[in-house]
Amino acid sequence: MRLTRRAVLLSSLAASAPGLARAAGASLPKPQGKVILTVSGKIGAFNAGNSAEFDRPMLESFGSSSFTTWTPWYNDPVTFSGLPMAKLMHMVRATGTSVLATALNDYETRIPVSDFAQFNVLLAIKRNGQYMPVSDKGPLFIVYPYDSSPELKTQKYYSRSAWQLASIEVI
Amino acid sequence: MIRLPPLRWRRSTPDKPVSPAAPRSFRTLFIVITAFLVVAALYTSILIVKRQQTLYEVSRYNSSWLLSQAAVEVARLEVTVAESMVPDSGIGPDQVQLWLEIVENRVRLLNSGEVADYLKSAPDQLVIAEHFRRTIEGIKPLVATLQQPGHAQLLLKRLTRLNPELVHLSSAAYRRSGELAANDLTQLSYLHWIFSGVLLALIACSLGLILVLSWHNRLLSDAHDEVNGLVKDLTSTSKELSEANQRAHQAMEEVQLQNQILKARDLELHTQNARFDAALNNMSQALCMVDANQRLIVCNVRFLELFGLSTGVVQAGRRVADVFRAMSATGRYDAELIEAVRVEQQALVFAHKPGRFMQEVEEGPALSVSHQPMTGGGWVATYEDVTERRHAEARIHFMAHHDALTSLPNRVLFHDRMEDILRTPPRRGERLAVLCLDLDYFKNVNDALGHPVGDALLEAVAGRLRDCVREEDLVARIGGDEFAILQSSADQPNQAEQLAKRIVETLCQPFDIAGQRAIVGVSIGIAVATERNANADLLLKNADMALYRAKADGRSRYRFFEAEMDAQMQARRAIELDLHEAVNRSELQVWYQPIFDLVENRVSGFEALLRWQHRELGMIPPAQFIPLAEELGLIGRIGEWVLLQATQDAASWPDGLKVAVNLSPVQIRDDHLVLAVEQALMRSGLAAERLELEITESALLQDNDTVLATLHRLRTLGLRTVLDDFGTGYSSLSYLRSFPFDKLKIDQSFVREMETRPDCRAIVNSVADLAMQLGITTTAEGVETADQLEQVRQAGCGEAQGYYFDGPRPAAALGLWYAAEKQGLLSAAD
Repeated sequence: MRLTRRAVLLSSLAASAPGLARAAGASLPKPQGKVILTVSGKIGAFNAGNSAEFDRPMLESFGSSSFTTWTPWYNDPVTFSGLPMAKLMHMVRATGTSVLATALNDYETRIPVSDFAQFNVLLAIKRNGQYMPVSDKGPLFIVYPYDSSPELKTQKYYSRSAWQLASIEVI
Repeated sequence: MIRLPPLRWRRSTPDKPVSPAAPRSFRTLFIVITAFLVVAALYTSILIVKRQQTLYEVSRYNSSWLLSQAAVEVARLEVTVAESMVPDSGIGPDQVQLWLEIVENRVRLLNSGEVADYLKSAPDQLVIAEHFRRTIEGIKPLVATLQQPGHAQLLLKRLTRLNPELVHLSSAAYRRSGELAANDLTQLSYLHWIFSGVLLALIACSLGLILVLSWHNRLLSDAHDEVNGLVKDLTSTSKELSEANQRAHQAMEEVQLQNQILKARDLELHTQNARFDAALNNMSQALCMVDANQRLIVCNVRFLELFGLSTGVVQAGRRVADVFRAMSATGRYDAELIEAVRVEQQALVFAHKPGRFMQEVEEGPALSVSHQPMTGGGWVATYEDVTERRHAEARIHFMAHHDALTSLPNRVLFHDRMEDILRTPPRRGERLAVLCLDLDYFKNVNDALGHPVGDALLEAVAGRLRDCVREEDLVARIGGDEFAILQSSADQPNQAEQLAKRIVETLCQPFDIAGQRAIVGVSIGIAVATERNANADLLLKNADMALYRAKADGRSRYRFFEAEMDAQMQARRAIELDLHEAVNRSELQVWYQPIFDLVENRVSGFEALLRWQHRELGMIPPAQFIPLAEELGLIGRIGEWVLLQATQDAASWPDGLKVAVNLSPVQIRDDHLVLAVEQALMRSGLAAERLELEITESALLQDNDTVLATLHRLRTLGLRTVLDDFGTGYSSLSYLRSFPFDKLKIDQSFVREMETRPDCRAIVNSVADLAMQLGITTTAEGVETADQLEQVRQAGCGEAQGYYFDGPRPAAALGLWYAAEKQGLLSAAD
């Protein structure tokens, strides 16, 4: 718990003072718990070689955002909450234009980085306030606010919505 | 929208006739096409929406992939389970657990959302999905106990059973998605065809529209041309109109001018008509105007009044004959008079000549007619009732030829008649006698009894004269108391003599005039016309001379003219002429006779006496030429001269000697007298109290008031007035009371006979006494002897005058005489 608290402190430092975080080394704090996401590729912040690894508390520490939307996968509207993808890209100092997201079942999808800011794409951690198990599209799920635009209610964006996300490569 | 220009205008020459239906059909077509375009556009929009929806369907979530992954993940789980059974494979139960969870996730996916919906539509597949779910539920405990022998095999066995089902499921999903895609494609194709069709239709419409528009343009162009043509036409028309307008304007102005002129003329005509009417109806003459057909044009109010006609009877268009008939019918004038006028006018109408004539009834109405033919055959005539004028004329004529008092012919008529008689050749030795008559003593009667009596006497005389003559003789009054008679007879001069005798006798008989008895006589001069003196003036003059002679011979008698009378008359006329000249030739002289004051026993003054020293005839006595001077109107001039001469002479006299100047009756009646006296006094410088003016009684007989006023005015100048020759006239004592005399002179006829006749002495005495009583001085005239002087002195006379003292002497001799005789006279008086 102490370590976790320090990590939080550090991350908050990094968040509040990017220049300081950068000076503190292009490195991120090490994940304390089980790594649930690995980011690699064209990024500027690392904590595991050329990639950055994150456990759930780290991801939660970067801030939270949420929205409610209809999806093809649930019969009812669902409220997703988690880290905005744009935030994640910032944290890892991503410099690429797109990302290759890979799920636990090896599903791959390519997403332009521009989508994140444009549509406020969320790296959902919770669904309806509950952490998501692997058996129900957890632990991480890239979701779009589908109700915000009819454009988003298409196969193009549904295919970019990767559940059981395991890693991201910035290209 | 394109608005079509209204094609209303047409060329006058329709070389390109345009059906009026064309624009309408064109418009309809245009509207149809446009509507169709709108509908097509809308439909296209709908199609596009449909296509979008279809495309959306195509792009919607693809469940086939999701289903197909179920088989893959189950297979991956089997593989993981199988590998976990292989020692040192590195695959542990975690991996198996992970893949189980992944498969669980797939089961969930199949049981919720769109996939679940899809599966529900296919019951056989729903069975498979249910089996899949139950299988996975069932294997969960096996996974937990995978290390136990046989569990892995059992697990694999159960999972392997799922494989064909899941493949069936995925293939069915794949097949379905293929069908869906084919459906979509078909639909899209269908939509595409529709779209294409619509597009083609749109293109066709556009082409149609273009055609329509080009047609329209052509129409517009035509219309434009037409409009241009029309505009051109209009321009020229406008120009023409403008010119026409200008002409019209000019014409209008001319018309207005004409109108104004006409108005002015109308006004003028109106005014003239009014004036004409006014003139016509204010004419004093009656007027009627008749046209060539002898029908009345107009007549004025006076015409109606004059003939008593009513406007109803005399209207324009009436025949003139009817009008004359109406004029007669009213009875205003005698029908004969009207008929006479009509006949005379008719003659003028036929003759077509102007004329003025008068028709009158004897002693009755008279009408004056002025007839004037007019150009064109009509005539205009004015009628005037000249009855009054005729009567007045007659009266005037009568008055001009008759004496107002006696109604006898006057001198004018007498003269005319005489000339008439002399002009006509005498019948059977007839000769004309002219008798001139003058009443004797008429003046006395007139003065004594008054003018009314005198006038009545004259009338009576006229009456007697009328009785004396024959009817054919003419008696005229040719002067105050002068009459004349014309008598034509073969027995001349006997008849004239008979007549003269008769007249003298008749007129000598006393007259009884309003109870007063008057006696006059008549003197008659007769001239009988001979072949030598058959001249009116000469005859009258001759008769006059004979009358003069009769008078000179003692009155109340007749005398025939004789040749020697003419000579005497010639001499008298010569004296008359000489008297005119005498004044200029200084033949007149003022002589002076002394007046002796019996109280103071001295010469108190001189009486101025006029003398005429004729260059051939010698001294002419005053009694001869003074009446002549009065008759000739010279007395005023002579009297003034005497007055001035006497005052000038007297001014140089010593001892305040007075001068007495005689005034003739003519002078005393002259308004100029007082001024002449004033001037004489002023010019001579003689004091007024040294001047005495002597007036005879006869001067007082006429114009008493005037004489009285003159005497008063003279006395206010400061001089003295003297009544001369008292006793010769009427010797009315009332004169002395009425007139302001300072002195009276007792006529010498009384003084001369005082010695022999006591009555004369008594008269002188009583007059002197009376005068003394009245405070008036008396002068005794004609004292020639010492006895006479003595008697007048005793009678009480204040002054005496006569040859006893001295006769008249010229002024030049007076000074010497006065100086020499003064003493002698004084002694004589003693």
